[in-house]
Amino acid sequence: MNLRKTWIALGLLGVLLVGFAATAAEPVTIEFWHRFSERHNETLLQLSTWFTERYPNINVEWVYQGSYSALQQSINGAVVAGEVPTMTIFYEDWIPPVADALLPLEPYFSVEELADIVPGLLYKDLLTVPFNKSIMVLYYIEDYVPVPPTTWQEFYDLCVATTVDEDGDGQIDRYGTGLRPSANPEQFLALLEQNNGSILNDDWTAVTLDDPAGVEALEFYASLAPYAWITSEYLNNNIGYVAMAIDTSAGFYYWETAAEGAGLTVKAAPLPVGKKAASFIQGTNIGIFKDAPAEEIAAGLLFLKFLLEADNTAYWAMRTGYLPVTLSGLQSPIWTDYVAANPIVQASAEMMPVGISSLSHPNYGDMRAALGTMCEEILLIAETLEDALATAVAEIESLLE
Amino acid sequence: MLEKLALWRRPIPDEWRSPTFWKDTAWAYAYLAPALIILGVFTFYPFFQAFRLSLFKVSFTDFPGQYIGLDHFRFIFGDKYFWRALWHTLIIVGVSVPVTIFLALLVANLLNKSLRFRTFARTSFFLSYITPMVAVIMVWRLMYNESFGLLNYFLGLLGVHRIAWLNNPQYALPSVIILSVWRYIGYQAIILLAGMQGIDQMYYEAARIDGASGFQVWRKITVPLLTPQIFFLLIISMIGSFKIFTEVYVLFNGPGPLKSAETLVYYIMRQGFFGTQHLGRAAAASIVLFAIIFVVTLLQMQVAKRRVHYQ
Repeated sequence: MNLRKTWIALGLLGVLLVGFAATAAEPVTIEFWHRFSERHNETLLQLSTWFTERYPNINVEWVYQGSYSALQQSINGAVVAGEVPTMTIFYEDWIPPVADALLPLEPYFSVEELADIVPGLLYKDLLTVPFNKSIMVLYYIEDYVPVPPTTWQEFYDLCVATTVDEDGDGQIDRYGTGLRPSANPEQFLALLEQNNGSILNDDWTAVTLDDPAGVEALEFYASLAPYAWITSEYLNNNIGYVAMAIDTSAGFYYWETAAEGAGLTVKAAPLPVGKKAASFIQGTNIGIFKDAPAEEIAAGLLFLKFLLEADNTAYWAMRTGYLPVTLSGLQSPIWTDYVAANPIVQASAEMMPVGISSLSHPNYGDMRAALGTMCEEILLIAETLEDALATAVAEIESLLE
Repeated sequence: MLEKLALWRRPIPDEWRSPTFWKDTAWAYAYLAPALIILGVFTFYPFFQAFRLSLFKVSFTDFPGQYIGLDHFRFIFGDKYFWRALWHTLIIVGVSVPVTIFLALLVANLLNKSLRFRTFARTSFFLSYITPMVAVIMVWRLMYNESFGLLNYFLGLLGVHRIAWLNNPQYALPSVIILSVWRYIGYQAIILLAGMQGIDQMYYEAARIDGASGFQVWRKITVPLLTPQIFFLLIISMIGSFKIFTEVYVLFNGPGPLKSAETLVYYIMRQGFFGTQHLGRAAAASIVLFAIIFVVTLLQMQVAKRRVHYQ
């Protein structure tokens, strides 16, 4: 069966390549929409330069679309207007409204290629493949936390111990950790997954957030409140004000820069483990529009495969703070050498195999907002845990239809 | 009845018989056309489209979507966060508008006197208005910072405990108001200063001859004769305060802790564009905001008829 799928994939790709070769007398330009910051421009251009060296008739035009919200609106607008680019990046929950406009990718990938993608990064219907992925890790300031915690209990104890009033004026001068309930409910979602909890059941027909596992995770999250700086600000912008932080690995650069400026040492460790090790993967995937011209689709598929090659995904990760999205990328010498030379990256590489992604439910945006409100109301004691949870569950239930 | 309504039976104005009149009119419309087209496409069309959107379950990928009547209005009127956003907006309008105008009056009065470095002082006050808003707010965000902000540093020198300006729901809205007042004082002061300099000196001379005190002159002459400018500022600053958004967005990276600084426009943006895409709800909330501003402006116009003194 697997062998047959592989042959089908190779056959389809072959047809595309032949089609591409037939029309490739004219140069083809892939229009790639993204929202990566200026810091990543050089890396994007390097990747597209290498690609064009291999396929001289194909150029990649990187088109910056502003914020993530603006990019999502551009994508939706482009689909409605029928003026789509060749390919773009997507968050999982952006996909359902435009799913019909996307090229199903499974036929173009062999079983081996799909098996190489990091488990947990492949989504329903395979309309996209992962690209820029980061994972939640534990940053800790070594000056305050010499040894990082490995369990929930250790994490809690360290939060208590490192929350201090240094000058004795009755005000806390440094918190054990920082929580960003509405801006980053993924901090709670990582704990939820570690406690074997979930937002919804497997077939998305019922809310499971208030199951015992969910309640227990939420109680632990709430217990951190007295020892946590509760904010919507980026925690690395206030380096030294928190001793530890659950934050995305994409922030390595910012944490290290801030720590250097403050004369502190920041390190990263895998998240403390609950009932199981788990972390939350964030970031976007790439999809190709099926209404793009055939030669652009063919070129886009080649570029997609190019980006997933071990050395290229590793190079992208190494230069940006994201992570390789294939197992071969994680094992490539480029990446292993980089990790060896940069221990701060080690934690995220270790967490990657136990990462989970956000739901690709079409209403996930609303669900996430409800979770953020719940977390915030609990931490700031605006509602009791029971009431806030009940409200969130009711709201998420109303979004299941 | 029909006779009364028969407009076509009214006599045709004489000027209509002149070809020059029609030629001039055609030229006038030709010159107005670019502005009318731009206004039509970018102001009037979106304005009426918002009314339409508020009645449809619409998304970017399903346009115009399904007609659902007043469901969006029912949703927002049943949403506690809409009422909170409205309340926050009313507080901002009720506090920042009068406070800003009052302080601007004082500043304008000072700038109108023969001070040293008067030009420098006038420019300085105006700088807060002409500096790009996001840049200004970013600086305020740093000043408000809980751990290293300038405000807490000075409060610390006075023995006051650190204030979590941006992270405590109690202080979030005052933070927005302080920033808003600071930003618009300079602009309003310049408008008022121009008004003060336009007041005929004979009123002041007459008051001096009558032995009026400085405060009496200010209260009985300066302020009444500035009412056209004050009224203008009242209208534009009230409308501006109802539409406050950027200050909240940049200061808090969100609607503030527990949405404690969420304004109506932020609510609209949150419904329509931030993570969720309920364009119909956003349109419905926009219409409510429009209705509020419209009614308040009409009331202001009525009051102005009695209170504004033109020279």
